[in-house]
Amino acid sequence: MRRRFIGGRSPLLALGTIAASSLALAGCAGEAPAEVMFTTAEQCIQAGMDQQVCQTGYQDAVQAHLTNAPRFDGLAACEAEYGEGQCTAAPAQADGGGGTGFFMPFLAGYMMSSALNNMGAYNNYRRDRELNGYANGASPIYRNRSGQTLTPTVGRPNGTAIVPNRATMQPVNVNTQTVARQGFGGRSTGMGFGG
Amino acid sequence: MKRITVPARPDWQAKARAVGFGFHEMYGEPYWLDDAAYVFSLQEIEKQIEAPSSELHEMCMDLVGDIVGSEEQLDRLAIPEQLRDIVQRSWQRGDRHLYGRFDLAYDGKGPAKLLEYNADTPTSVFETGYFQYNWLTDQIDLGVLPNDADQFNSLQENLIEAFGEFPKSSIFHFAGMLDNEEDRGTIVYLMDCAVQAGHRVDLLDMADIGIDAQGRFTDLQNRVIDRCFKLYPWEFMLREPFARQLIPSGDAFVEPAWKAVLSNKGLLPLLWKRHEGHPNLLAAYFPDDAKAGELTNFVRKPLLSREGENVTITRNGEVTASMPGIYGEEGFVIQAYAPLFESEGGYAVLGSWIVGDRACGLAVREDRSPITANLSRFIPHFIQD
Repeated sequence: MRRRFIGGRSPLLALGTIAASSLALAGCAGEAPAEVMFTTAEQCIQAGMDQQVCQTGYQDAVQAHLTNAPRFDGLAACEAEYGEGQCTAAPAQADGGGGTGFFMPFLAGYMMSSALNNMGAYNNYRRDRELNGYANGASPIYRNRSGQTLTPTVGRPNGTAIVPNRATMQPVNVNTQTVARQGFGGRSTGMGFGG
Repeated sequence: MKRITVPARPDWQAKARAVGFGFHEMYGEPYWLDDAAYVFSLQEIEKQIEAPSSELHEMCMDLVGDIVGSEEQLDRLAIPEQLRDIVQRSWQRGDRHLYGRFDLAYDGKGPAKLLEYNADTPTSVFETGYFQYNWLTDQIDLGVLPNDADQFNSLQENLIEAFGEFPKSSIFHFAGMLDNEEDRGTIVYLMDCAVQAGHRVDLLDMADIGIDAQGRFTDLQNRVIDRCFKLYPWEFMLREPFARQLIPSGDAFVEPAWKAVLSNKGLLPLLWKRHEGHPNLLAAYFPDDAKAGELTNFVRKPLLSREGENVTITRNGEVTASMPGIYGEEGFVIQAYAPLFESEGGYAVLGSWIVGDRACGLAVREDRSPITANLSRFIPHFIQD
């Protein structure tokens, strides 16, 4: 058969327009961008996200939390990392693997794309993440003593789950203090720099 | 290969408006042409454009390791000495790249000739991947083009696939000169592809990128930027106030720093030296090479230049075309002259897209001048035997 290059699905735009500015993406001036962290499903819904997406995202993050939250063999060790009053005893696992005196931090919230405006989009996002080795859709987020936001990595080398610990935690666009800006873009002339 | 005129889609301007394609007119001139098209045979696309583009990309990738390992060649490309480490380490680490566009001279007769590799900040990606594709399907639906008309264009699906290869644990930031409508549209389109690949994204102006006390790049919400697509040339970044911060944190950027050696016109003489006589290459030399003086028809190009600036064409000892501009202080290369496809529409240059390592699409632009510049027009194409 003669080769054809096109003929499948026509290209779509998820954002609907290429004229979006950062402000338009945020939904309202100066607010958070397309990436968002919510502390609860209610906060997510109040922010104008789809109710079902908010609830499913939260449930996914809780699932990931129960499986992948960092484990500490004492309350003090956990609190040293995550702050006083920020840890709890790890519950017994359904498979009988827990309830053994381990401690883990509370879930500080969950993070997902604010571009997910319906369950279809969320399911695609979740499937895509699963293909890329993540267990779930939305990511569980923890906040350590110094205010850094962290999420567990979920690698499964050789098919065996990694035991969650502090080493499996990685920073996610950690919060910091900016000391300078305007260090790039100085050749601005209003002209573009593509070619 | 030929150029034809067709009826424009009656509603194409409304369609452009609906998707935010405001720059279908630029500088008061039409940029997108809906009522003209280039026609290729499948064999021309496969044998003269797709296969040579794949091969040229392989040849380029094969050369990067040599260039970054040679102080002499990095000198030739004017990569600042104190920042070479950034370029070298990005190659050694294997920092992932996204896309690039070869500009080819092809007139439907001999083999396509490489003019340059826009490997760092190529634009016209939305026009190619989205608007041109819809032009084809609309024109088929309207009965203007036959049902079996095709297009060398799987650009958008390849972009989504390539974005899917980047880790998704962090926000994918997108930065550039947002006050330029064309650049912003290009960036937002690529951001759209990233969203479709499952990334969380944020958009900011190049000048709004900050640094923290540890030398990490930050966004406007004071979050560390872990990964950032930038539609902004590496050669500028390496010479601006935050250049030093690129030493610890330069691995955040896409395209990666090693693309600086491919988007540089100094690549052309290096490719020619390695593959002299290759059918898809033009003879190219640095100006101090005696062989440069033997060319009678040649083009002089700055090492670093955008949109045809500071390019001159000399034929039989006379300058026949030249463009003003702000580039050239880093040096020039001399490349043999290759005729472009010429018609009542002007001179056409073929832009052949590489996404990841795959040749996957075609963009045709034409210009009144044989030096394709910022007043060039984008013309859709289709394949028909």
